[in-house]
This record gives sequence, structure tokens and C-alpha cells, in this order.
Amino acid sequence: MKCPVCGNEDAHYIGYINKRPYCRKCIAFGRTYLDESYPIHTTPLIMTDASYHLSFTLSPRQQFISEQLITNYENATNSIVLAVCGSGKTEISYAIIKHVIENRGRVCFTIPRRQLCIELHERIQKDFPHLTIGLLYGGYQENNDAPLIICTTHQLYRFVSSPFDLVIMDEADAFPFYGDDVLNSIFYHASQRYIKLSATLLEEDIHDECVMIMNRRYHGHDLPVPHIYIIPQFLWAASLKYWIKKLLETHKRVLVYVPRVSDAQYYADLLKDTYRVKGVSSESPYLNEYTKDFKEGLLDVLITTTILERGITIEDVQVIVLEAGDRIFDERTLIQIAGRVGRKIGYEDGRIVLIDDHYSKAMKGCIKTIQSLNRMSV
Amino acid sequence: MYQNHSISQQDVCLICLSSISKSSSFHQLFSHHCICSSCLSLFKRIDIKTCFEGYPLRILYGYNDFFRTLLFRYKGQYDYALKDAFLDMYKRELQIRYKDYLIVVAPSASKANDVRGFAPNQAIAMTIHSHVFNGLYKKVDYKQSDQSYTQRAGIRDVIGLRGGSFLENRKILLLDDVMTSGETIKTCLRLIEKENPQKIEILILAMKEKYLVNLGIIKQARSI
Repeated sequence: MKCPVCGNEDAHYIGYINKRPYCRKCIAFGRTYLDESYPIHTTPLIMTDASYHLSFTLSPRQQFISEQLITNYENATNSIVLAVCGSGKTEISYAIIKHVIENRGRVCFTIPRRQLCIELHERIQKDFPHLTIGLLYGGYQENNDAPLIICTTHQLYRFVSSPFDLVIMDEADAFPFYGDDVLNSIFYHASQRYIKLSATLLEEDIHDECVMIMNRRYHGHDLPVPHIYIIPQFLWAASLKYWIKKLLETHKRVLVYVPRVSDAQYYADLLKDTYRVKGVSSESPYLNEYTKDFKEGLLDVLITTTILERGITIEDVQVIVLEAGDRIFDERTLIQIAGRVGRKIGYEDGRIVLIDDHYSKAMKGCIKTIQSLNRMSV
Repeated sequence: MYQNHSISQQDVCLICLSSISKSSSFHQLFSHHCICSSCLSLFKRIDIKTCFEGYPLRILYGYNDFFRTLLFRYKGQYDYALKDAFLDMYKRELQIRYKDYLIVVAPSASKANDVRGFAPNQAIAMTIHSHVFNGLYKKVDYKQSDQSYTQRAGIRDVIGLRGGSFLENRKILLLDDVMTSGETIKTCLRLIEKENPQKIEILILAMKEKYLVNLGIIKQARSI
């Protein structure tokens, strides 16, 4: 027996109601009886205008990948785009979205995190002015029969019975999608063809997809390389103050990453007499407000957990990672964090300071990967 | 002989679906638990024994986020297998204590049960023993949890009892999952009293601390 939604076959995860088997692994997405067949519906779509405009022109490499995605789609090949942070991953998928929708297909753009969904919806709606776009995340849905849907990876379960012609997944390496069997299985069930976009997928994540690499940001500058400072623990507070002071001399904002939720508030209290500073985490109610204030320059320093590791673009920002050797900062996370720096034209450079009392494999791996990306000539 | 039999070697936790290693404690050699220790620790066990309307009342857990999620998964997402999770740690004791009792379950709307495919309270009661009486029913589709605290007395006109003669001269254990204002329980008690049972006791799975204080069961100062 196999669950039609999540593909579970393990007898441990199968429950019985009046002797009818049901899947317990994906119970959070609604109860599925294993003996039932789930017909696949298709709804014919009317022709829609999917024209878009971009505020900049694609670089030759972006243009090439953009066209290659369409060729792959036509050849029924799945694609993976490995693109460094801030290289304009979203924009290269516009052409394929237009192509599929104008051939009366349905497209889904999916991201593991809810906050990114909302931002992406705003951004894509602005660029595709004539298109109705659906938005779905936990507790919210609008236009869920539109030709283009933007949703969290959790919401894909709604579309298992009516798979998309194309699912584009951004940040394919992010929690909670990465490494979750149920979500992955739902993703494959909800898509006939897919494109994964990511900065930091590892080799074992790549199967038979066509892989394309983009190692340059659209402004063409090198990626900033992190620097490691080994400092004993009792001096962390002092060195944090030193670096913030130093970085603020030349730049406007500093983003500080800490490993634990409690640390965010601790360091925010420590610095609040000297700077305009706030601490945020997944548990803080004002996460969005503080992030917005920070972007607008109302705060000098924002102290955050890995909740803000990806997806956000802040002009002219410098990064400090405290306790960078902690388990939570694995290589992929550090690369993402380093990717916050130097995204905007005019602020291509910046510093990434990693502070801890020991080296970790992840820190070294992150620096090595970034350096090799900078050397690569694609 | 059984070492290659995967299911006998390894059990999964009913709640978090991760595997429970069987040899982790001496205790587990003698009793079979279907919940792993980390999930067990998330239950807030209070086990208060007190009086309600003159009848002995026992409340097993505090109603915390974990319990809310668990109950939702059971009743709202229809995960029937969870029925064994709620009384797991009290099972043996309850089975002995209430051996010759008839368990009367508080009613749930029959429409909802049709969708679920099972009656939640009844299924939990069945894990103690199978002398379960389900004659209490709701006349209309009415959800107590949708009502405000003050409106909850309205439940009085909604619950009915069929086949009440079974209750005569029996020891009764009235079981419900969550108690808030106590109105549902009160209504059930009134209906059961009419049938002259020998004895009534009440068993509640969980209750919010706030309402425990409201009903005078615990004092404000004591934190549970």
C-alpha cells in the first residue's frame, strides 16, 4: 500500500479506521485513505495575458539560462539553477512563466517560508501587471484557481490532485522543505515538471536534472568573502561592540546573527544604550515591523537568529555572525548569510565577520565555496 | 528468532512518529508504551482529584499548546490512531480502578462524527475497557467550543439521553475531553441522575488553568 499524497509505504505510519487504512505521515495535510483512488482533475484555462516588464535588462548569462529553461521545459527535462545569492534568480524565471501560461498551462512558484511568499507575490504582481496571481500560505488564500500561484511548500498538498504543469521552487535548500520526506514527496506529486532555484544545493541533492550555474551577481562583482576571527568567549561582547563601531563608521547598517532566540534579546539589551538596536527571532511579534524599520534606516543594528538568513535584500549592510561555529550555522546557512552583503549596485562590497572561539568545518567550507565561485568563469 | 522482524524490533511513537528504542528503560520491559519519552514529557500532568457538583472529579492534564495540537490532530484532522495516546500513561491504573464501571461518554455532534468515521470520546473510552455507553446525544448540531463562556449554559437544551434504563443501579464514569465552564458535564449529570445510578464519577482529560480557578478547583496562587 502506498499513500497517494506523500508516497508513504511504511506500515508504522499507517493507521486504521474501521479496518480502512489511512496515512498518518501526512495527516497534517488532511486524512487520506490508502484504498481510495484520487482522480486527477484538469481545469481548462482561458488565454491570459502574461506579459511582464523588468526594471533592468538581463545579463547575457541570465538570458542564456532563461532561454535554456524554456528549452528544457519543452524537452520535458527538469532543471536546477545554482545561482549565488543576489544574482537575480527570480527574474530569470519570468520568461518560462510567460511561456507556460501563454500555452494555457498552470504555474506555481513556491518557497518554504511564508514571509518570502508575501514579498514575492508583491514583486511578481508588480512585474506581471495583467495577470491574476494566487497567494496561499498557512491561514490565508486568495485566487487559488489562478494560472500562477505563489505558495509555501506546505500548501502544495492542495494541488496533488491537480498537478501544475510547472512548479518553480525558490530556496529549495531551506528549512522546512529541505530534508522533509513528506514535503518533498508532495512537491513531486504536485508538479509535472519542476525547476529548483537555489544558492546552496549540495551534490547529493541533484539527480537527473539539468544543472545550470550562475556564479556572478548581476553587477558582476566578486562575492564578499567572510573573515574568521577567533576570540575567547569572554571577549565576545567587547569585540561585538568594537566591530559594530568600526563597521558603522563607513556603512549605514549592521546585521548581527546569533545562534539562539534568547541571545537576540541579550545582545540587544547590551547595545541599546549606544545604538538604535532591536533583537528579532521567530518568536518576536514585531519581526516584520523591525525588519522594515531596519531597511528604512530607522535602526542601526538588527540582531537576529537564522530566521533572516535568506530572501531579504537590504541596501548597504554589513554582517557579523556571533558564535559562528555553532551547529546551527552550517555551510549552507553561512553562505546564505554572507549573501546578504553587497547585493545592491553601488554597495557591492562589504564585510562578513565570523566570531567564535574555534574554527568549524562549516566556516572553512563556506569560505572555500565562495572563493571557488569567485574563481569560476561561467 | 525474531531479530530480523522489523516491526517487532522497533516501535514508533504515536505522536511524533519517531522510533522508540525498546530497551531504553527497565520500566519499558514490563509495560508497553506507545509514546516516546520526549512526547510524554510534553503532557502537563496535573492529576487533580476534586469534587464537582457533589461528585468526584478527576482531571488528568493541563490544557497546554501541546494538548491543543494533539486534540486537534485527533478530532480535527481525524487521526484515529491517536486514541491510544491520551490515556497511555494512566491506562493500567484506570483499568483497575474503573473495572466494574460503565463509561458514559459526553456527546459530540453526529454530523462531525460521520465525517471523522469515529466518535472521539468513545474511542478514547474504549481504550480503558469496552463497557462504554453512548446514549447521550446532541439534538442539533451544536458546538460548545464555538460559544462564549457566558453562553455555554445553552447546552442544557441540546443534549438528550436515549436508552437511559441501562444506567440504573450501575456505577457510572462520565468521560469528556476538555472541560471549560462545566456546563456540558452539568447537563450530562442531570440526565444521568434521573436514571438512579448507584454512583457517578467524572473523568476529564484536560482543563485550562484559568477555568480551574474560575470553578474554584484551585486557588489563583498555585501554579500548575
